Amino acid sequence: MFNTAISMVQDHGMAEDIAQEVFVTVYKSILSFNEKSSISTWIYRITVNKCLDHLRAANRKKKTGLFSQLFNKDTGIPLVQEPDFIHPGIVLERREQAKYLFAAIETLPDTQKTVFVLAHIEELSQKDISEIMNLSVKAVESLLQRAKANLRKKLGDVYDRRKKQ
Amino acid sequence: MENNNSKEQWIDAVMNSTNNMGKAQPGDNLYIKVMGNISRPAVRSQAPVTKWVAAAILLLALNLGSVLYYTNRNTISTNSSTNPIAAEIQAETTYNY
Repeated sequence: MFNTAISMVQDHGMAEDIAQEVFVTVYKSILSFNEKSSISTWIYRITVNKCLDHLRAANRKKKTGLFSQLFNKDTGIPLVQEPDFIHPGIVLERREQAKYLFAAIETLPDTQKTVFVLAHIEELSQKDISEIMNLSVKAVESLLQRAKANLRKKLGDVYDRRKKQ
Repeated sequence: MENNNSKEQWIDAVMNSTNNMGKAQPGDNLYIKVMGNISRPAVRSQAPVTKWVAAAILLLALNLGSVLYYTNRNTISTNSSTNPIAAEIQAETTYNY
Protein backbone atom coordinates (compact mmCIF):
# COMPACT_ATOMS: atom_id res chain seq x y z
CA MET A 1 0.00 0.00 0.00
CA PHE A 2 2.79 2.42 0.93
CA ASN A 3 4.71 1.38 -2.19
CA THR A 4 1.70 2.18 -4.39
CA ALA A 5 1.19 5.50 -2.65
CA ILE A 6 4.81 6.66 -2.93
CA SER A 7 4.92 5.62 -6.60
CA MET A 8 1.77 7.59 -7.34
CA VAL A 9 2.40 10.76 -5.33
CA GLN A 10 6.23 10.70 -5.36
CA ASP A 11 6.49 12.22 -1.92
CA HIS A 12 7.45 10.25 1.20
CA GLY A 13 5.50 12.38 3.67
CA MET A 14 2.35 12.44 1.58
CA ALA A 15 2.60 8.68 1.00
CA GLU A 16 2.76 8.11 4.77
CA ASP A 17 -0.30 10.29 5.29
CA ILE A 18 -2.14 8.30 2.64
CA ALA A 19 -1.09 4.97 4.17
CA GLN A 20 -2.38 6.20 7.52
CA GLU A 21 -5.71 7.30 6.02
CA VAL A 22 -6.10 3.99 4.21
CA PHE A 23 -5.50 2.03 7.44
CA VAL A 24 -8.08 4.12 9.28
CA THR A 25 -10.63 3.84 6.44
CA VAL A 26 -10.17 0.07 6.26
CA TYR A 27 -10.46 -0.25 10.04
CA LYS A 28 -13.63 1.82 10.19
CA SER A 29 -15.39 0.30 7.19
CA ILE A 30 -14.24 -3.31 7.33
CA LEU A 31 -17.73 -4.38 8.43
CA SER A 32 -19.32 -2.81 5.37
CA PHE A 33 -16.86 -4.55 3.04
CA ASN A 34 -18.80 -6.73 0.64
CA GLU A 35 -17.03 -9.82 -0.54
CA LYS A 36 -17.67 -9.22 -4.24
CA SER A 37 -13.98 -8.44 -4.67
CA SER A 38 -10.96 -9.61 -2.71
CA ILE A 39 -9.81 -7.60 0.27
CA SER A 40 -6.55 -6.67 -1.46
CA THR A 41 -8.47 -5.28 -4.44
CA TRP A 42 -10.60 -3.26 -2.04
CA ILE A 43 -7.53 -1.88 -0.22
CA TYR A 44 -5.80 -1.06 -3.51
CA ARG A 45 -8.94 0.78 -4.65
CA ILE A 46 -9.02 2.86 -1.46
CA THR A 47 -5.29 3.59 -1.80
CA VAL A 48 -5.56 4.69 -5.44
CA ASN A 49 -8.53 6.94 -4.70
CA LYS A 50 -6.77 8.55 -1.73
CA CYS A 51 -3.64 9.10 -3.86
CA LEU A 52 -5.65 10.81 -6.59
CA ASP A 53 -7.46 12.97 -4.00
CA HIS A 54 -4.13 14.04 -2.49
CA LEU A 55 -2.63 14.76 -5.91
CA ARG A 56 -5.60 16.89 -6.92
CA ALA A 57 -5.42 18.82 -3.66
CA ALA A 58 -1.66 19.30 -4.10
CA ASN A 59 -2.12 20.44 -7.69
CA ARG A 60 -4.74 22.94 -6.61
CA LYS A 61 -2.37 24.33 -4.00
CA LYS A 62 0.64 24.38 -6.22
CA LYS A 63 -0.26 24.60 -9.86
CA THR A 64 3.32 24.21 -10.95
CA GLY A 65 6.58 23.10 -9.51
CA LEU A 66 6.07 20.26 -7.08
CA PHE A 67 5.95 17.35 -9.47
CA SER A 68 6.53 18.92 -12.82
CA GLN A 69 10.24 19.44 -12.76
CA LEU A 70 10.67 17.79 -16.10
CA PHE A 71 7.76 19.16 -18.11
CA ASN A 72 5.80 22.35 -18.11
CA LYS A 73 2.31 21.38 -16.92
CA ASP A 74 0.56 23.84 -19.23
CA THR A 75 2.58 23.61 -22.40
CA GLY A 76 4.01 20.11 -22.01
CA ILE A 77 7.40 21.44 -23.11
CA PRO A 78 10.23 19.57 -21.44
CA LEU A 79 12.17 21.60 -18.91
CA VAL A 80 15.86 21.30 -18.33
CA GLN A 81 15.89 20.79 -14.57
CA GLU A 82 17.03 17.46 -13.23
CA PRO A 83 14.20 15.46 -11.61
CA ASP A 84 14.84 14.77 -7.95
CA PHE A 85 12.42 12.05 -6.81
CA ILE A 86 14.11 8.71 -6.23
CA HIS A 87 11.89 5.74 -5.46
CA PRO A 88 13.51 3.95 -2.51
CA GLY A 89 13.02 0.54 -4.12
CA ILE A 90 15.08 1.28 -7.24
CA VAL A 91 18.43 -0.45 -7.46
CA LEU A 92 21.40 1.89 -7.22
CA GLU A 93 22.68 1.56 -10.79
CA ARG A 94 19.28 2.46 -12.28
CA ARG A 95 18.47 5.42 -10.08
CA GLU A 96 19.47 8.07 -12.59
CA GLN A 97 17.27 6.56 -15.31
CA ALA A 98 14.39 5.91 -12.92
CA LYS A 99 14.34 9.59 -11.95
CA TYR A 100 13.44 10.46 -15.54
CA LEU A 101 10.82 7.74 -15.68
CA PHE A 102 9.08 8.89 -12.49
CA ALA A 103 9.13 12.51 -13.59
CA ALA A 104 7.48 11.48 -16.86
CA ILE A 105 4.94 9.25 -15.04
CA GLU A 106 3.97 12.29 -12.99
CA THR A 107 2.78 14.12 -16.08
CA LEU A 108 0.46 11.33 -17.29
CA PRO A 109 -3.31 11.69 -16.94
CA ASP A 110 -4.64 10.10 -13.72
CA THR A 111 -6.01 6.92 -15.29
CA GLN A 112 -2.87 6.22 -17.33
CA LYS A 113 -0.67 6.94 -14.32
CA THR A 114 -2.68 4.57 -12.12
CA VAL A 115 -2.64 1.77 -14.68
CA PHE A 116 1.11 2.15 -15.30
CA VAL A 117 1.99 2.17 -11.59
CA LEU A 118 -0.21 -0.84 -10.83
CA ALA A 119 1.09 -2.79 -13.81
CA HIS A 120 4.79 -1.93 -13.76
CA ILE A 121 5.57 -1.10 -10.16
CA GLU A 122 3.04 -3.23 -8.29
CA GLU A 123 3.26 -5.86 -11.05
CA LEU A 124 -0.46 -6.62 -10.89
CA SER A 125 -2.24 -8.46 -13.67
CA GLN A 126 -4.52 -6.56 -16.04
CA LYS A 127 -7.47 -8.46 -14.57
CA ASP A 128 -6.62 -7.29 -11.04
CA ILE A 129 -6.16 -3.72 -12.28
CA SER A 130 -9.52 -3.85 -14.05
CA GLU A 131 -11.18 -4.87 -10.77
CA ILE A 132 -9.41 -2.15 -8.80
CA MET A 133 -10.33 0.55 -11.31
CA ASN A 134 -13.78 -0.78 -12.17
CA LEU A 135 -12.86 -1.02 -15.85
CA SER A 136 -12.88 -3.77 -18.43
CA VAL A 137 -9.64 -5.65 -19.12
CA LYS A 138 -9.69 -4.20 -22.64
CA ALA A 139 -9.88 -0.66 -21.29
CA VAL A 140 -6.94 -1.35 -18.98
CA GLU A 141 -4.93 -2.78 -21.87
CA SER A 142 -5.66 0.29 -23.98
CA LEU A 143 -4.79 2.69 -21.13
CA LEU A 144 -1.52 0.85 -20.55
CA GLN A 145 -0.58 1.09 -24.23
CA ARG A 146 -1.38 4.79 -24.29
CA ALA A 147 0.59 5.35 -21.08
CA LYS A 148 3.65 3.62 -22.54
CA ALA A 149 3.37 5.52 -25.82
CA ASN A 150 3.05 8.82 -23.95
CA LEU A 151 6.01 8.01 -21.73
CA ARG A 152 8.20 7.08 -24.71
CA LYS A 153 7.27 10.31 -26.46
CA LYS A 154 7.97 12.44 -23.38
CA LEU A 155 11.27 10.67 -22.74
CA GLY A 156 12.22 11.14 -26.40
CA ASP A 157 11.64 14.87 -26.02
CA VAL A 158 13.80 14.90 -22.90
CA TYR A 159 16.57 13.05 -24.74
CA ASP A 160 16.49 15.58 -27.61
CA ARG A 161 16.51 18.49 -25.19
CA ARG A 162 19.48 17.05 -23.30
CA LYS A 163 21.36 16.42 -26.56
CA LYS A 164 20.94 20.04 -27.66
CA GLN A 165 22.52 21.34 -24.45
CA MET B 1 20.56 6.59 -37.71
CA GLU B 2 23.04 5.93 -34.92
CA ASN B 3 21.59 8.87 -33.01
CA ASN B 4 18.10 7.36 -33.33
CA ASN B 5 19.39 4.02 -32.09
CA SER B 6 21.03 5.52 -29.04
CA LYS B 7 17.84 7.53 -28.36
CA GLU B 8 15.71 4.37 -28.49
CA GLN B 9 18.23 2.55 -26.32
CA TRP B 10 18.13 5.33 -23.73
CA ILE B 11 14.30 5.33 -23.72
CA ASP B 12 14.26 1.52 -23.33
CA ALA B 13 16.73 1.72 -20.47
CA VAL B 14 14.63 4.35 -18.71
CA MET B 15 11.40 2.43 -19.32
CA ASN B 16 12.97 -0.73 -17.86
CA SER B 17 14.58 1.02 -14.91
CA THR B 18 11.85 -0.24 -12.56
CA ASN B 19 12.58 -3.89 -13.33
CA ASN B 20 13.43 -5.95 -10.23
CA MET B 21 12.81 -2.99 -8.00
CA GLY B 22 12.11 -3.52 -4.31
CA LYS B 23 9.15 -2.31 -2.30
CA ALA B 24 9.35 1.02 -0.52
CA GLN B 25 8.79 0.77 3.22
CA PRO B 26 7.21 3.45 5.40
CA GLY B 27 8.96 4.88 8.47
CA ASP B 28 8.88 2.94 11.74
CA ASN B 29 6.53 5.42 13.38
CA LEU B 30 3.68 4.83 10.90
CA TYR B 31 2.26 1.99 13.02
CA ILE B 32 2.24 4.22 16.12
CA LYS B 33 0.56 7.03 14.16
CA VAL B 34 -2.13 4.68 12.82
CA MET B 35 -2.84 3.19 16.24
CA GLY B 36 -3.06 6.69 17.70
CA ASN B 37 -5.48 7.68 14.98
CA ILE B 38 -7.68 4.62 15.45
CA SER B 39 -7.84 4.80 19.25
CA ARG B 40 -8.56 8.55 19.30
CA PRO B 41 -12.22 9.16 20.28
CA ALA B 42 -14.31 10.35 17.38
CA VAL B 43 -14.89 14.09 17.41
CA ARG B 44 -18.56 15.00 17.00
CA SER B 45 -18.89 16.71 13.73
CA GLN B 46 -20.29 20.20 14.01
CA ALA B 47 -22.65 21.75 11.54
CA PRO B 48 -20.80 24.22 9.32
CA VAL B 49 -20.83 27.81 10.54
CA THR B 50 -22.41 28.96 7.28
CA LYS B 51 -25.64 27.11 8.15
CA TRP B 52 -25.95 29.02 11.42
CA VAL B 53 -25.13 32.32 9.76
CA ALA B 54 -27.79 31.70 7.09
CA ALA B 55 -30.36 30.78 9.74
CA ALA B 56 -29.57 33.94 11.74
CA ILE B 57 -29.86 36.14 8.64
CA LEU B 58 -33.20 34.55 7.73
CA LEU B 59 -34.56 35.05 11.25
CA LEU B 60 -33.41 38.68 11.29
CA ALA B 61 -34.97 39.33 7.87
CA LEU B 62 -38.31 37.85 8.98
CA ASN B 63 -38.30 39.95 12.16
CA LEU B 64 -37.41 43.11 10.29
CA GLY B 65 -40.05 42.37 7.66
CA SER B 66 -42.81 41.91 10.21
CA VAL B 67 -41.79 45.06 12.16
CA LEU B 68 -41.84 47.15 8.95
CA TYR B 69 -45.18 45.65 7.91
CA TYR B 70 -46.93 46.49 11.19
CA THR B 71 -45.34 49.96 11.42
CA ASN B 72 -46.59 50.74 7.90
CA ARG B 73 -50.08 49.50 8.68
CA ASN B 74 -50.35 51.60 11.83
CA THR B 75 -49.13 54.72 10.00
CA ILE B 76 -51.78 54.33 7.27
CA SER B 77 -54.66 53.92 9.74
CA THR B 78 -53.41 56.83 11.88
CA ASN B 79 -53.13 59.02 8.79
CA SER B 80 -56.66 58.33 7.65
CA SER B 81 -58.08 59.22 11.08
CA THR B 82 -56.19 62.56 11.37
CA ASN B 83 -56.48 63.64 7.74
CA PRO B 84 -59.47 66.08 7.41
CA ILE B 85 -60.18 65.18 3.77
CA ALA B 86 -60.24 61.55 4.59
CA ALA B 87 -62.55 62.27 7.52
CA GLU B 88 -64.83 64.32 5.24
CA ILE B 89 -65.03 61.57 2.67
CA GLN B 90 -65.81 59.12 5.42
CA ALA B 91 -68.52 61.45 6.75
CA GLU B 92 -70.02 61.84 3.28
CA THR B 93 -70.20 58.16 2.70
CA THR B 94 -71.90 57.58 6.03
CA TYR B 95 -74.32 60.53 5.60
CA ASN B 96 -77.86 59.38 5.41
CA TYR B 97 -79.65 61.14 2.47
